[in-house]
Amino acid sequence: MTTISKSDGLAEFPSTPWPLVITAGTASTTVRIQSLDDLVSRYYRPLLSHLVCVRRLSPPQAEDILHGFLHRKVLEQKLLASANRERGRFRTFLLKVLDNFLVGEIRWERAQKRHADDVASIEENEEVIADPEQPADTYDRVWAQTVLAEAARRMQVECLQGQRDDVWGLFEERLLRPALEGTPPGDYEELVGRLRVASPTSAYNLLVTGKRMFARRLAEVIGEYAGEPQEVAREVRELHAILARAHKITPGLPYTSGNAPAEKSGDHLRNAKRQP
Amino acid sequence: MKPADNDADRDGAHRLASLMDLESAATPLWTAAELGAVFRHQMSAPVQLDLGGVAPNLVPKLRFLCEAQGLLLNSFDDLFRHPHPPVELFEIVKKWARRNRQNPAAALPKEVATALYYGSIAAALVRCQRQISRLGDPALKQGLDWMLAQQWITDPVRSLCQEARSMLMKKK
Repeated sequence: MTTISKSDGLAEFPSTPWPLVITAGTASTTVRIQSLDDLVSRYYRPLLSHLVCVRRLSPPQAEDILHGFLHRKVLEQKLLASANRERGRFRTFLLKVLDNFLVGEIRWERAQKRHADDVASIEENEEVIADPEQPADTYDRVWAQTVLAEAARRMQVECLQGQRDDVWGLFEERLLRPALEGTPPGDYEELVGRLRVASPTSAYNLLVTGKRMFARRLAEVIGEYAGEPQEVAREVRELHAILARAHKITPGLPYTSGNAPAEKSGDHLRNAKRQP
Repeated sequence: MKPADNDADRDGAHRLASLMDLESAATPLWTAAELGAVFRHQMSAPVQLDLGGVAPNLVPKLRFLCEAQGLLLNSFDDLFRHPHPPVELFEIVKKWARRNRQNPAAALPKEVATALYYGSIAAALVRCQRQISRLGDPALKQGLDWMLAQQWITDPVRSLCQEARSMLMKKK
C-alpha cells in the first residue's frame, strides 16, 4: 500500500477548512496570506462558475468581480475573521457573502452610471440576481466536480507510482473521462490491446479495482475538510445528491497535467492583489 | 438548449454521480455496441486463465487437457477451431458461461456469456458428436437461432452453430 505524504504530491488539496479559515482570519501576515492562498485555490473555480452560470456575468466580468471580492472583501476587510463555524458550512458562507458583494457592486455601478453613460455595465444582470433559481446549485456542482477531480488526481499518482498503468488507463478512459468531460468511453478493443489486458474478466476486475481505489481517495479528500467519519459519509451522500440532480456539467476540470493546466497556487490571490 | 443537449448534460451529471456508486454493479462497464469487441477479446483470451476460476481443483486437469496429445490450446479461439478437441473442455466452458449468465454481478456481459454457453454446446455436438446439455432439441434450436441472429458472433462460432442446427433439423 502506498504511503501518502506531502512529498509525493498526494496531499496538496488544502487541509481542513475551518482551522484554515481561522488561521487565514487571525494569524500573522505571512501565515495568513498562505492560508488565504490555499482557501482561494480551492474555491476560485466554484465561485467563478457561480458568477458565470447562475449570475450570468460574462467570464471577464466574473473575473473582475471575483478579484474585487478577494481583494476588497477577503484581504482588506478581513472577511474570514468574521466567519463563524457555528453558522454552518464555510462554502455556503462564502457564496452568500459573494452574492451580497455582487449586489453592492451593481448598485455602486448604477450610481456611477448616472454620471457617465459610457461605462460598460453589469446592470442588466440585476434581474438575474433576483432569480429565484437555487443559487447554490452551480457552485455546489462545481465544488463536487473539484473534489472528484482531486480524488482522481491522487489516484493517478498512486497508480503511476505503483506501476498500475492498466488500472489507471481503464478507469480513466472508460469511467472517469466520460464522467468528468462528457466524452464517449475509450474504444474497448484499442484499450485492452494497448494495456495488454488478457481477457474481459481481467478488464472488469481492473475496473473494479480502479473504482475501489478512487473510493479510498475520495474519502480521503472529503475527510480533509469534513472531519469526523460520520461527516465524511454525510458529505459523500450530499455530493452524490448534488451531482444526481445537476443538469449540466462544467467541462475541463483538470485532474492530469495533460488537460487544461490548473492555475498555479497563489495566482488567484496575486491577481486579486493587483486589482486597483 | 436543445432537448438532446439537455439529455446529454443530464447523462453527464449522472455519470459523474455514478463514479461515486462505488460498489454498485448497476453501472454497465460496456455498451451494447461493444459486445463484438468483448466477444472477440474473450475468444483471444487464454483458456486456462478464465476457466481456472471455475474451481481450483480443475487447474491441473485444464492444463492436462490443453496440453494433451499436442493440442496446444492457448485461447478459446484455438479450442473452438480445433478439429478434435477434448469434450471435457467444452463442458467446463459451458459451466463457466452458465455461471456468468446467472450472476448479475458477473464480469462478462450476459450476452457474451450466453454466446459461449450455446457455442460450447454446438461445438461439442459438431466436433465431438456429444450432447453436453440437458436442453431439449427445441430449446437448443431456439438458442442456436438466437446465436445466428447476433451480428457480433465470430465466423468460426457462427459456422459451428449453423452446423449444429442442421444436425438437429436432420434428427427430425
